[in-house]
Amino acid sequence: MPLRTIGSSDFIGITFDDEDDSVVFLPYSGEVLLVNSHALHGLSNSNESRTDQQSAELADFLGHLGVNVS
Amino acid sequence: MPCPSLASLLGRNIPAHIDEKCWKTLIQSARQSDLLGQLGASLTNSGLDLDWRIQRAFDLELLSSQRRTEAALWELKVIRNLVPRAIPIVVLKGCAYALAGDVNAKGRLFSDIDLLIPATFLGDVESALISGGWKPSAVSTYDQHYYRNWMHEIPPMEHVRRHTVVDLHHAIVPTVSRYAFDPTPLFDQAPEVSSGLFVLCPKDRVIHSCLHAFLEGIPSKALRDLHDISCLLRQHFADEPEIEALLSRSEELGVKGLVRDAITASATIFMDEKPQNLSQATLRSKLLATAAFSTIGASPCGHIGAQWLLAHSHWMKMPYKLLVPHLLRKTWVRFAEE
Amino acid sequence: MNFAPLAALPQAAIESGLRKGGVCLDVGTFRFRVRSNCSVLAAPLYQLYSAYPASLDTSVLVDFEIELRRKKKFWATEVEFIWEGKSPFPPLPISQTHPLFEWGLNWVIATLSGNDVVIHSAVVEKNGWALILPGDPGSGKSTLCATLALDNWRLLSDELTIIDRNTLAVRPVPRPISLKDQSIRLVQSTFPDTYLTKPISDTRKGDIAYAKPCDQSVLAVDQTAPIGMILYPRYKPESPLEITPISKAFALAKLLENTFNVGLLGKQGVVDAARAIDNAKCFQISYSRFDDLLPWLNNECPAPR
Repeated sequence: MPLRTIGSSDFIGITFDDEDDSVVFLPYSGEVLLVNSHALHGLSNSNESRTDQQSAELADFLGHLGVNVS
Repeated sequence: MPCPSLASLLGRNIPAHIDEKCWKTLIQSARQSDLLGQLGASLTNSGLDLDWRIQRAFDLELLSSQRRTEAALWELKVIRNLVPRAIPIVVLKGCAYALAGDVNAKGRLFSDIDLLIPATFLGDVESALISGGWKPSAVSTYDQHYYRNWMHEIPPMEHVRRHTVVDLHHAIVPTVSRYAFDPTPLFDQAPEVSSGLFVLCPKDRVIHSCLHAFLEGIPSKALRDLHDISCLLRQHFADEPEIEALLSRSEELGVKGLVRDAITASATIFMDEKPQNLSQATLRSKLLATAAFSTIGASPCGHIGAQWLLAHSHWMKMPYKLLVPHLLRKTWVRFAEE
Repeated sequence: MNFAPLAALPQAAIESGLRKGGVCLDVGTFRFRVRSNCSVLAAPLYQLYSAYPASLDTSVLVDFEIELRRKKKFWATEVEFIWEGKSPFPPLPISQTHPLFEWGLNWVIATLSGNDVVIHSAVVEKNGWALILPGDPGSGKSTLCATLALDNWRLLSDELTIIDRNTLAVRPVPRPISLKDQSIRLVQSTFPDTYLTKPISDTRKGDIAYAKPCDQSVLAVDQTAPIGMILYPRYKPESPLEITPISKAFALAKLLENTFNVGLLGKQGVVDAARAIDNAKCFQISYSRFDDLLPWLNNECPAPR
């Protein structure tokens, strides 16, 4: 299965196969995070329609690190 | 075929071919003066056939510069979001060249992020940065006093996690300097280049570089400034009326002699033909050129030039009654540390 | 410009070359020149690098120049590693000239490989597939790497996994294999025919010796290998073999923690690293005996490509 990626100008998220965990990389600070894949791909929904609690928390967390998720 | 000099290559004077034997000295002197990336920017896409080893070395410098610049531009966004919108932020030096799209930004490496803020807002900006994770430097009481009362910048601030460093300036010349001037005209002419972020106008970018070449007092840094000046002139002030306007502006700010001498020194090293308005080289411009050039070319006068540059930078920064005790203290501290 | 195996030159020529115009060597895709006024460097260099392409030509274009310079102090003689006019390390006792040469070389090669993905880990190859062995100090990865590399696996590197961002394969940088303390004795007894330098004591890493890599590793330097396995070993005395598969995400996150040039990679570089491990089987392993681990490893290695 090819890699799935999701990101913005400020980050890249990578999912292998069907794995539950994904890698998030913040290029400007060099930080590497391991996050839940479902929460990660839920970020592609806009703020308003983001119903998944985990995605909302992830977006919030990244926002605090100065990362623009959209 | 004789080897081209580093200066001529940086001045975009590129021959059709460079012998293999020339590269060792060229790369070495470029590295020593922190101009390897800029050399790479100058030679890549110039039509010159480069050995793959040389290209690899350039590619690495260009990549480092690109990443450093991207990270700095992102930090600027973060800083802009932290600082109240009403406070203007003027970006200086390396970051500014990148923001403004100046040609000399390519391949250029810089370490700190330099910002110019009106003096009245300095405290607010410092607080905003602290809330965003920047830590004021742990400096001695003396150094705090030195920075905050005499200099044009406060002690550097470092981010606790990312370790990026921000230098907040409220002027571009130290307050106690004989050349100090009110920075308001700088703010008045600064264009906005990105949402809420300003840079100095092109004339002021050149002027700042000229002052910096003299103020830093270090030959390799002076050389980089002179190179920046040559690129800025080539890009923004290609003809005489424009240079005249630049000199007028420097006269308004009370620094015409310094600016004229720095441009002359830059032209001596990096340009084939000096602009006509600068026909006379002064002793000061020659000493600056000698000091800067000593980084890339061995010369008997290089050492003298370097000593002069350092002494001159101290003289520029402070009146004697402050300078002598300050230098005595610096020497004592260094001695105590060793 | 003639490059021939270092062994083709008389040792005396190498000694004088080091003192005067320098000795050029090819390691991986790097060509460098080394100079030294420390006579103690010539013999280990001659023995360990005998198969490496070398030249005494002073005009050859190299990627970097290094020097191991003697420094006489009142109380002792020290050696300094110099690159670009600077010493990235503090001076060491002159007896440690050769280890300093090896550490310095790692530093320079890691720094100059910034265009690729440079990971601090050992890497070996079999059946055309690379096996990466990252591991914290004390994990036993160096001993494991040496055991594999001196047996039927090809050494790609004992310190630096360099992944080409275009081909996504590992580029070999084979070098003498560094061994510490007990692993020196283990390798000596398991591979009695392998040349080992005389152990040097009192270094900041304990006893240090270097094992000469197989000539085939050095000669096959142009053969890259895609990543087939990633193994996080942990030596646990008197315990059975325990194999835990880990997710590729976890493996990637840990690799990035050990990536020297992570700041240079950008988003695309990390995606490249991810693509490079996309075909890899990833495990965490705890073991106490090589006799348990090696058969499993030989079996688990992907079939020839």
